Amino acid sequence: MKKNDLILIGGLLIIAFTILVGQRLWQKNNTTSGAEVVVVIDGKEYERLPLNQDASKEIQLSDGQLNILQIKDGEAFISEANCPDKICEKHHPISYNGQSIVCLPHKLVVSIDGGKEMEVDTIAQ
Amino acid sequence: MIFNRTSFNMKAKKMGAGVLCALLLCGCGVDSAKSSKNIEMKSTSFFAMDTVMDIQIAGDEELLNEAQQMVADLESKLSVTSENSEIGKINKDKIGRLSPESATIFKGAMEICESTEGALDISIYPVLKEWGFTTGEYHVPDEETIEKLLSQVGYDMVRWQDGADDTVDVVLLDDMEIDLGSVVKGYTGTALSDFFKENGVDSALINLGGNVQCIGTKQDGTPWKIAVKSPFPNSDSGIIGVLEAEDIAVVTSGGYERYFEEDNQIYWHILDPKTGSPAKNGLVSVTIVGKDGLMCDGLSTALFVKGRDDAIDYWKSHKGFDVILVTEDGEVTITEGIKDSFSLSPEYANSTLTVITR
Repeated sequence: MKKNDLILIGGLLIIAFTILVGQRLWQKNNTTSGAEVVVVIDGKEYERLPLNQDASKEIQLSDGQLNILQIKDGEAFISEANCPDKICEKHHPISYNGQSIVCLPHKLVVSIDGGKEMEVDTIAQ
Repeated sequence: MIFNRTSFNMKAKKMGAGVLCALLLCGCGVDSAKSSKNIEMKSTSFFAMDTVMDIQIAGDEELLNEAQQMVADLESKLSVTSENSEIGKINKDKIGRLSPESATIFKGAMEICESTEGALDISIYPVLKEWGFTTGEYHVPDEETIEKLLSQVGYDMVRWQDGADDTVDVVLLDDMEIDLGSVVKGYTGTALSDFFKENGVDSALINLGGNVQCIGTKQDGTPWKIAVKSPFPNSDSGIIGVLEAEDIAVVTSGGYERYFEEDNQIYWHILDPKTGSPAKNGLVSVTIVGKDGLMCDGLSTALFVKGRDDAIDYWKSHKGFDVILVTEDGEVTITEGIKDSFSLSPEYANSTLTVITR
């Protein structure tokens, strides 16, 4: 094998690795950054907020329904609601794809889109 | 083998080219292989039966629309809060007829009421209403009220007989009301699963307000990973353990689902039909794993009411399901059928895990 062959193989290997690593990085950045908190009310999307920015959002509807959505340290939760059962207030903060907080009386669902993948497919509860 | 310079040279070149091709291909090769072999997962999410339903299937989107319609049809027949449903009419008129599918659900529920000796009772509804669990206007009823209501609670006081064409005729006492809510979601999960399978779906995950039913495995051939919610409010991960599942229903009942606090006491929605008050027998969460969603749903409530020891006794004398029991002091008990597929989540790795055998 000539020296040039080795250089050629070596060069192509470097190119191949660069492409591979670049692709993987691109994929990674596109799945973990840009996670959003999605608020859906009665089946219709109401709002999207970035998960990586702390925020406090009053979700007030014309009929007096109120839920306060908080985003803190990459997690979303309902800090206050005027629904009768307040189950949404007691729900754990969410941060993974597929997790959701539901306020049944207000038909409100808060979920995560484009975030980290959970290690489980669904939750029996 | 004769070693010479030429053959080495050839081999090195071939090898180099091979490695190169492999490297260039592996970046995208894996992904394209996956998408060409697998059918795209379609999913939907909607409100029905007072809860959120999430369904994902490896199949046609049209099937999801039909599934949603099936859920709506069942709800319109069985909703206890609607006066025009079959159940609503029976509760109002104290007499009525259940159509074939409703009759199947009714009979399935009655079987569980009988086999659990009333730990599940479809006639507890008036007491549940009194506590406010159906409306959210919670209050603790006085003992006299509960006593009076309990006098007309008892699945064995529901009179019924088979009618024509697979219907069932039901007659209630004057102050009785029945509710099939404790089994409807479980039944619906299995019904949807059957419907999808009949239409060629071999991979699906159905979650009806926390009642899970899965078809087959995930598309990559690995089992579905179904988390069981932690019943403890101070949990970081919110998950007590994970079950690897294929073609099965997983239904959990816990006090955390619906409850209120009064005078530092927690009152939850799972009532003991014998006392008319929240069932507090040491369990905080019961999960049933089995093929028949209706049975899983009904038993998750009934075994919660029974408490750990009686729940284990019931499992030992009945077939077709496995259980995961969590007691208030954090101990987890599972049955032998799922000992290899269930694992505690990292947060609860140090909890006591007991495996019960027959």
